[in-house]
Order: sequence, then C-alpha cells, then structure tokens
Amino acid sequence: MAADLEFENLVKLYYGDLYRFGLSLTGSEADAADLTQQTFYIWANKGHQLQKAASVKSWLFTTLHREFLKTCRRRNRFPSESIDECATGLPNVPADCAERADWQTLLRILAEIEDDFRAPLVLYYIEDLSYKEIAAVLALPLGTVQSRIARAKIQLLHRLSETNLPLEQAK
Amino acid sequence: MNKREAKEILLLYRGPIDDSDPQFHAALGYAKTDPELCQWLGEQTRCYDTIRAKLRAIQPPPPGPEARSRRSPRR
Repeated sequence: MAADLEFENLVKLYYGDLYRFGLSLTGSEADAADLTQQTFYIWANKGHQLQKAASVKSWLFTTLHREFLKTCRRRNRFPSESIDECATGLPNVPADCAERADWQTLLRILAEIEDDFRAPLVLYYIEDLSYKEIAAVLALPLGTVQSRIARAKIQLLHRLSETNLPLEQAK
Repeated sequence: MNKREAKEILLLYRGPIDDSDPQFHAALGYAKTDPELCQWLGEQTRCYDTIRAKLRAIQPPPPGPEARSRRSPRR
C-alpha cells in the first residue's frame, strides 16, 4: 500500500511539483520550501494511514494546500472581497502575451489573485489533474472549482495582456 | 449552443488532457463549425501550454538535509 513507497523516492517524484504549487500559492521561495518540507514531514508521520497508493499525489497536494490555508489564517490574510466581477469578460489574449512573460511575472500576477481562486488555477495549469481530482484535492464541489478556475483565469489573462506590450511595440 | 456559450465552456479546455471529459464534447464540435471560434480556441490552448510550460520550468532548490534524512513512513 501507500506506506510501501520509499520516502526518498516519494521526495524525488513529487518534490518539484509540490514546490511549484507552494511557490505559486505563496509567491515566496522560502515559504514554498517550508510548505513542501512540512508536507513531507506530515507524510512521514501520517502517510502510512493512506489506504490507496494511487491517491498519494492527491494526498500530498491536499496536505500542502491545507498547510497553506493554516498559514493564511495565522496571518489573517483572507480578504473578504471576491474576485472582481467586472473583469469577467471573456478574454482574447494572444499567446504571444504569455510567451513574453517570464515565470516571475506569472508568479507576481498569480499572487494578485485571491487565495481561494489561486489554488485551483495553479493546479489547473501545473498538474495533470482532472477537474474532479482538483475538486478532491481542495475539498470543494466540482462546480465551484470550475467556476473559480474560469474566473481566476480570466483575471490572469486580463492582467497578462495589460502587463505586456503588443508584439509590434515590443520589437 | 451558441458561440458565446461554447466559448465559456472552452475557456477551461486544456487540450488532450480534457478530450475525454464529456462536458467539452459539444463545444468542441461547435468550434469545428466556426472558424473564428476555432482560431480563438487554438490561441487559448497555445496560451495555456505556454503558461503551463513556464510554471513547470521553475526549478526547486534541492530538498534540505532535514527532508533527506527523514525515515520512511511507519508500516
């Protein structure tokens, strides 16, 4: 079962994915490393309780997200406003805008998106998880997850298009 | 289904990973009949691929000694 997975192999397999998820949530390399290590620490103590080996990846992402939410609560960082309803027009963002943005710019834009919307959006972009799996990781209804991803994606694309010069001007 | 509805659905479409998801089937079919929507879809999936590749290219620092020295989970 899950406990049979060697810890070192588990770290090798998922360290990068979890770190990127943590970095995208926090925007801080130190916080991302802390969250990732804390996730493996919890795994080392509680991972043996997991019954299905196939659920390891989801379990790790769920745990990291929970630890992130705990950190947010401690810092009182939960904003009360929802994502900007006015920005929900469907974007027509050329792929060139994304190509010109480096990962630091993407992280900065992600950091501007509300926590509750950022996590599903990050999983949508960086992991090969189905919508049902993303919903399971975040313990949210499927419809809520899809709605949050859509709204957060629109906001990200709008900000991306505002951040970059049009191709003609960039040359 | 009209173009606007198809676009709203396809906003979440990521490419092959979502091909087996039935919620996209009708909208993908609609896009095949609408060149403008088809072009928008191509652009948006290219945009998705680019953002995904950039985020996935972030290299983490090596795990700290604390993590490396952890023992295997209890059995």
